[in-house]
Amino acid sequence: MIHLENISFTYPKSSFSLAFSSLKVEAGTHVALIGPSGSGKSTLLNLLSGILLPAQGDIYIHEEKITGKTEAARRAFRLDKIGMIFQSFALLQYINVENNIMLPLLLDGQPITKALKERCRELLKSVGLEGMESRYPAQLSQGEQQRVAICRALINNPKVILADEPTGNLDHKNATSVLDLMLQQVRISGATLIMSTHDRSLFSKFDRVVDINELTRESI
Amino acid sequence: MKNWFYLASQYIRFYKTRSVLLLTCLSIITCLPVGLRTLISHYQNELENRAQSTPLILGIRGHRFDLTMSALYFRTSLERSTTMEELEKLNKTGLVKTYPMFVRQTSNHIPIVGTTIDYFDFRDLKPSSGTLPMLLGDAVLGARAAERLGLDAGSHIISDQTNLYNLASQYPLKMNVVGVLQANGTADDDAIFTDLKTTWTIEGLAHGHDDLAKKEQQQNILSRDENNLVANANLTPHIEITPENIASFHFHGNESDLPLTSVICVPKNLKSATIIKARYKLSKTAQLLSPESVISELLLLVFKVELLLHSSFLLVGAATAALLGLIVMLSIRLRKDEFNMLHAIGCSRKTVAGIITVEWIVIATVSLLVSTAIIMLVLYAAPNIGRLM
Repeated sequence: MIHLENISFTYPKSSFSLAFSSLKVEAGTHVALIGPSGSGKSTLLNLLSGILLPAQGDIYIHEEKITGKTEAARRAFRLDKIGMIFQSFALLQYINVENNIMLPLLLDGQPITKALKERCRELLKSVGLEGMESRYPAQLSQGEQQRVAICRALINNPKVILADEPTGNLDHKNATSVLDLMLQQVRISGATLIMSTHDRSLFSKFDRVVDINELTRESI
Repeated sequence: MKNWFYLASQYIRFYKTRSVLLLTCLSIITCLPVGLRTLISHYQNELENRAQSTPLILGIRGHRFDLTMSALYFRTSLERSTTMEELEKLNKTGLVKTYPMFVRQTSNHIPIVGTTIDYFDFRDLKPSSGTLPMLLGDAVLGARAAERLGLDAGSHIISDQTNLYNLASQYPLKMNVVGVLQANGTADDDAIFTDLKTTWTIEGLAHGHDDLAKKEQQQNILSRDENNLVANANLTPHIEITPENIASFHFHGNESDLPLTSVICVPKNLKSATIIKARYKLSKTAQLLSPESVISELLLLVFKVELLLHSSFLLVGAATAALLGLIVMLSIRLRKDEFNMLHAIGCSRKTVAGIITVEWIVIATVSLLVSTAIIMLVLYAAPNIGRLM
């Protein structure tokens, strides 16, 4: 379970603040985080990943208290237990698809074994990019790039996947296709998915929809 | 660390043009001052070695640099000369062994050095093919001169015409190449050696022509007195010395007045050196120099120029370092999104810094290797560069 309680966060030198009393997400559920631009969706995802720390309150991810960890420990936790997907795909242009997918492992200093390469190929096959291991991001379409980013988020079997508007840069057809693939893969892995989105047409695909405005209003 | 290196090398490989440009700039920045310094050291050593192997030089009183450069490097610009009379006086002292030289003409712009056979022993010059010059009109080529001219023993060379517009001046002389010397890495490699009399002949102080005592030549005599015969233009001088005409070559005037541009002197011992130096200190016509001290003086002047160069290199280096710093900063700023993403997926700032550092270390190392290769190449080509200069 993911549990956030009595959260209060403000950016230094900014009037923006995010505060709510409680948010609980059951393990393995798929949550759509909605709200207008600037409402704090990305901030909440950054708090969950440990990139930001709240001024008050505690965050637990599967019994582990994130807020009690040092920055290095949070970073290690993120690398090991959380898969991140970004709106801009955030693939490294200078390494091929296979290495982009294995980037979290490369950064962790793990040796790239045959088994890992095999898992990489399986993931690519599952998102319809079979045989594209040696291609570079610039040789792929935007939809294909985001599918590679999904594979990267799943490579080390994370417990939680945080996706920040992953379909924001895609057309509707591509967005639906990518989301379906992502949900399918997350379901197979059994991970918890929290994804921020503007696209109302996608809400029906999630187990739960959390409106960030309502979340903060409840706490007032 | 292995993965840092892998990511860094992938970045360098992917952005080839950028990396090659950076590598080239760094290589030039590194090899320019170091290469120049190495080249200067090379010439400094070469100058000093040549000077140290030549104890003393005698020549006409005048500019010491010109005399030294003429005796050591066969520069043909020394207009004034000493005489055989001065050499005879020097030999009579019994204090030194002498090696007279006359260096004023060229062939294909390569200096022709007139000297005695002893000079070859003094410089330890041995022929790699053919023999040393034995007869009037014989020439032996230095190794690089032979290579440059593409000649070997058995071929011919012609001295350069000194004045194309003076019909009365001496004709160029055709000489027989009788040998090529082994290379010794000094100025001797870039010269043509002949007997002193051959250079005097080129200079016009000796000549050969048909015998005016012969009956068929009598018609060419314009006037005669006790000492001289004056012939008309029908009497053609020989422009080549052959076994048939060698006997007709002769000098006019007093042999003791024949010119020498310099005389290398090797004192028998320290005492002899001191005495002979003291004697020539007061001479109004000749000077006796120690090439080592002249070259040291010359190098001091060069070092002053080099000091200026070093100062400018320091300034350019500081400006370049600032520019490099700016490039690094801009490169990091351009890649900010990439680093933020890496941080977001769990990469530490230390790892990011490590990857950037490895990228720069790889580029700097390759630049250093390229610079070293260029410097080695410059050192290898140094003698040829020196000749071009």
